[in-house]
Amino acid sequence: MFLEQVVNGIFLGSMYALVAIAFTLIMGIFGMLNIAVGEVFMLGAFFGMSLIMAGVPFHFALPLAMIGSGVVSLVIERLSFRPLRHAPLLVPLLSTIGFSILLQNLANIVWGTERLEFPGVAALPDLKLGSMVIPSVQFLVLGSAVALILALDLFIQRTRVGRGMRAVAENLETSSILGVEPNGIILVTFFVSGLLAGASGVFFGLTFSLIAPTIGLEVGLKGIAAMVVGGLGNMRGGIIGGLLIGITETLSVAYISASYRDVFVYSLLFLALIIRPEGILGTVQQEKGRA
Amino acid sequence: MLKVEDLRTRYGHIEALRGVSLEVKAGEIVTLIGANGAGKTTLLKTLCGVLSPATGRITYAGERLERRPPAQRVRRGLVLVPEGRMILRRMTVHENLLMGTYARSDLHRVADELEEVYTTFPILRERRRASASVLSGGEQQMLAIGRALMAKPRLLMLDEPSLGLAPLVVKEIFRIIGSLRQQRITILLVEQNALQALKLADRGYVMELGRIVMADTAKELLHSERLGEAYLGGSPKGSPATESAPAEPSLDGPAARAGG
Repeated sequence: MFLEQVVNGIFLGSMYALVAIAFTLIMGIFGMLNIAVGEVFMLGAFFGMSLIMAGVPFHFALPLAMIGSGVVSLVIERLSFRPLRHAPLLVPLLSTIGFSILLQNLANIVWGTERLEFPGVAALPDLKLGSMVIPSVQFLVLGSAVALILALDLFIQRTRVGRGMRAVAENLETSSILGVEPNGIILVTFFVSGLLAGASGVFFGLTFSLIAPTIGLEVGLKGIAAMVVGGLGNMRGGIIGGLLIGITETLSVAYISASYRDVFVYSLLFLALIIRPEGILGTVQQEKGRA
Repeated sequence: MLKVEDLRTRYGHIEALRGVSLEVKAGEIVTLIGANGAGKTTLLKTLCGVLSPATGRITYAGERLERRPPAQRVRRGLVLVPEGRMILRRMTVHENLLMGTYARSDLHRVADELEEVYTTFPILRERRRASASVLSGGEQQMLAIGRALMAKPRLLMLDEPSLGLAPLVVKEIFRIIGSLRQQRITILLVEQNALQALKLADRGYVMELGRIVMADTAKELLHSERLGEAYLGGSPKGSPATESAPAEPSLDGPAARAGG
């Protein structure tokens, strides 16, 4: 029972981890949250649902929903960040909050405010480990999440554009002296952030079978909490934070009460902020190159 | 090769460059000296495109540059080694060097330059897998120069490469800068260490408060009375008194600071 709940927590945590990384990528470049990542996640879930219901097989529906979410993320950059490039950092934060409200209401108009059923896709048999039964859909989710994170890590560590992303995140001025075009890198970063958030949305739909336009806010906040718990601006921190929050949530649902689960999740956040404010993998933030 | 005419750059209301004109011919080593706050760094940042001038012209290899973004200038071979080295501390030495090639389109030929840079700076080869953050100040400066060389510069601009380095290291850095002439790289060298810079350079400009106040061959400047008083020995006005010692010139620039 306990082990089963931990495993469930890991599945849930992998979704939070993807959202946390989606936040982290943009945080790395602007040092500021893009609150609308949560809504990109939500739209990913709805794109996935609509595509699968239209008869698109899952292995096409997932990438298409991800690309759709990536495009939404680009629109957010264009309308919410780019016009405010020279404004104080708090201003784009506020504009993304506004954008979140807009996106959520758009989803209300398109898909309605009721919970909708996300069609199942699993055709594989469920896995039985002793008394534990793990639905195959969870393996699909976890496997895809791990694959996406590994692919992203390779992209960031090993490719020219990935190095450009790291350079821009470390120091904007230095990167432009070296010939990196920051605008291009910013677009790539927003697109990748959207891909991950959108994928997480599809996984969420698969796992819980019910989606509503409000899930963006709910999961978005947990993604932010995961990022903070794990260590700001650090991909691996987002992964660990996501898993911790996922496990905390499933354990509190199993052993205490489903209605109090958020109390435990956010208590974890407070605890982390008190004991280790820089996050589990965080190092003390040094220079943030803005000259 | 590079011609700057009446260049003016502002930070808000402060005019940091008040009409700067200078010229660098192909194959030359030209040095720009002046006290802190004279506008030397502002000039280099305007030349590489990180700052935009309010007015004035930058002509490089027959082409107007002042509205071109930095990446296009790097691609044309106008490359800056910035003040404070500005290495990317979260990357390895090797990755920093690769960042130097970012703007290049002939990426298949990068291996040659990499080999060349590692030959010029053996210490970088030794430490190529290390994080750039663990390098000493001198090694960081070598990395910054190596990274710039990876961009295949035709005109290399160096901003205070000797700043905060130990005398022996400064000597080595200046030796390397001098050797770049053989690779047919033109050099614009900004220095507070005026004596060293003028010994190396063909010509020099002196900047004060955003303007060029003197321009001559390096030899003439070295013997100029006015310059001698302000930058080469006598008590300089408005700048730290450590520029160089009168008798045996010290090599370590203004009070040695930790690099980076």
